[in-house]
Amino acid sequence: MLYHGPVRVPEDARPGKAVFVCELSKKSAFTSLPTDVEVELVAGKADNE
Amino acid sequence: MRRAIGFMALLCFAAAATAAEKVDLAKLERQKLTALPKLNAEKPLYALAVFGPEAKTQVWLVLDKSKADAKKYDVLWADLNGDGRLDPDRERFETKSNRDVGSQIFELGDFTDPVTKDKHTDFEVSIDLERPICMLRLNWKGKADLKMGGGYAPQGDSGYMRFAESQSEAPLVWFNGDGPFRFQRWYSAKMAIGKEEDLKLFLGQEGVGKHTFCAFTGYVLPEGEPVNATLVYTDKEGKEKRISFELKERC
Repeated sequence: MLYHGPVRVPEDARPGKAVFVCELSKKSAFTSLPTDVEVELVAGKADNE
Repeated sequence: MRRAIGFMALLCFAAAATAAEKVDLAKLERQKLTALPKLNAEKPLYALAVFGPEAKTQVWLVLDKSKADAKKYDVLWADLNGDGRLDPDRERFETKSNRDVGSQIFELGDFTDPVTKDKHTDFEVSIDLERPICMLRLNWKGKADLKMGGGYAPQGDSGYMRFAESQSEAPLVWFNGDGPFRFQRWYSAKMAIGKEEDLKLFLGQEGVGKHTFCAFTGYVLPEGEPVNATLVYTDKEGKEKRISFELKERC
């Protein structure tokens, strides 16, 4: 099971390393620890899958 | 009275959450297997599963062969009582799969955590060393909707978890369905600037070693409950910026 959704990296971002800090909502019945998900921001096509 | 019970529940929850935050699996002292039976495989393979919010229960998994010249690893030893010994009567499992091709599945059945006394069901180990894909699965506390499986890789093209040739290098998978939880990406290693991308995340627990994330495999969060993802990035002038998204879809 994957949780997903659209994200848009802003035009003013500099290419290079960045992180998504991921966590559950404070209202959730479950708890989470903020988790750094590292990504690389690139100009042009990301070519992921 | 009701307020007092609520307060106590909150305290218990906070204590469990704090314990889980303190667990540093990389520094976990791994229990040694003190009594190994005579193994047939020239190179037995090892993995370690740990259980519970404080990871106090350690279950060693050792892949072996029914005979030295067997093509596949068709025997699995599982130290289910966590005593560091492998009992031939209760902790040796043979695959019921075809032993010549494809993956081997070992059904360990129900498992009671010797420390927490929680009963987990349908504990299963599957291996396909050619791909390689090695997965451990169970229903957390017997709940099919809390089925967990590990180890997942951040993307599928380099294989999944693999067992190791020594105990010290063995991958560690953490089963803890009580939370707090962590996340792992699925693909999306690169993101194109100025374009819309689909960020996909596993929800579960991070293990130790390559490709050891243990994720919920079913629906856990209620429909519409989002995962919050805040992108922390550097802009073209060198300033740190943040932008937040809500991930509300699931697949």
